[in-house]
Amino acid sequence: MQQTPVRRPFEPVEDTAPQSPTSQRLLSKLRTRQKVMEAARSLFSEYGYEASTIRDIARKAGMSTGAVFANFQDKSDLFEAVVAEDFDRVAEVMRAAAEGSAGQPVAERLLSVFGSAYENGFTDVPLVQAGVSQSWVRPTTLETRARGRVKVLLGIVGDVLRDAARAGELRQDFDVRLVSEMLWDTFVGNYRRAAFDAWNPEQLKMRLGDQLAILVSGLKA
Amino acid sequence: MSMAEGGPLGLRQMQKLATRDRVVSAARDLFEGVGYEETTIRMIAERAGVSVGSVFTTFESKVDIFNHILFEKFELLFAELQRIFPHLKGSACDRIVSLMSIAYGVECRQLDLMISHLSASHGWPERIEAESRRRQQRFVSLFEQALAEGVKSGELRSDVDHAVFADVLLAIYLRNYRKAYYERLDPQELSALIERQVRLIFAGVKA
Repeated sequence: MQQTPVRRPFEPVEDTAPQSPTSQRLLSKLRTRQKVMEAARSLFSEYGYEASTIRDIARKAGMSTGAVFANFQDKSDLFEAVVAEDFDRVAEVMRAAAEGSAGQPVAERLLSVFGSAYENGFTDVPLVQAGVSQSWVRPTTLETRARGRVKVLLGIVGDVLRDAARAGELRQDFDVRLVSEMLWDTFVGNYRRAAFDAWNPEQLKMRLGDQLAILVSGLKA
Repeated sequence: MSMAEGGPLGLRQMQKLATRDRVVSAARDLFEGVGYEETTIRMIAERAGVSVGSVFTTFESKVDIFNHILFEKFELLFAELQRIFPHLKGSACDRIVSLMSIAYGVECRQLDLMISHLSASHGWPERIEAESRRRQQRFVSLFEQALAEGVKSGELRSDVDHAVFADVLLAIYLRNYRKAYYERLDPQELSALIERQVRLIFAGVKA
């Protein structure tokens, strides 16, 4: 990795050396990619996965289908890229919530971790629904990669559980992975309420709080 | 359509019912074989040997055919669960595990249909969701009944919200089908898994 030179304040900044053609091409490719992803995100959210076509996405992004295919293999590849972006953001907010709630009772910590995902993470409900719908019927290779992304989030949840076991609040002998998955299943299941009953993040969080209380009380030391 | 009004079914009504049966059975094969999303009304019509038009005279849309199949499937499962429920011995926890295990056994016989169902359920119209919830509520009411009896017998605490509790049970029960599909868990393995999960949840509500 390159070392960033330390600059004194007010030192004139000659930003970068004139860009080589390669890096310009790379930059413009990245911009195209970003534009395609934005268009795809809004169509997937509005019409769902099945009803959105590469042609529509290209039109919305203002480019040819060829330009889309230069960046993404197919629609599922594009959808995955959009979802992966959300997972990255959710991992950040969940991690911050876990750190911010350190020292609190485990049920409260879990609620702020999952609540942060409701509030600032997976906030586009139709897109979440499209993702969950897809998650039942995707090819194994996509499923394996998706599990990798979920695993990152479950790791954050698992750490909260392990902290509580270490602090003596929870039993020592429970299966952290099993419990993390059960919490995740419950968390995901609630999106049905958001989609069909127009629950807002606050309502989702309240319901999850009740569910968490039940799940956690079985683990009390 | 009533038998009382016109005596035996007229020819036209008989034909209509026959068409309906053929459409439903063709659709069931396709939803199971190629999946719900990939199946088109045209494919259903072809397989049933009827015109696209007559599919639409019997059902409003593809999702309505699907819903009809799910309805039939549910009625069979629920009748079985209801028949067995009074004979289930043991604690509330045991009885709920048994109900879920029976359901896994039945649903795994048509796993692809179940997976199509779970996938479609995140994008179907509200009227279908409403019907689906009524069915689900009947399933869940058996859990709630077991819970209520568990409270009465002193096995469970009385201050637990049964609706929330049953909600958690259902969410986990349903998500386990992912393991049946992607990891090829058979009904016995699913039963063993749900038993661990349900025991864990019950540990928190013991009296």
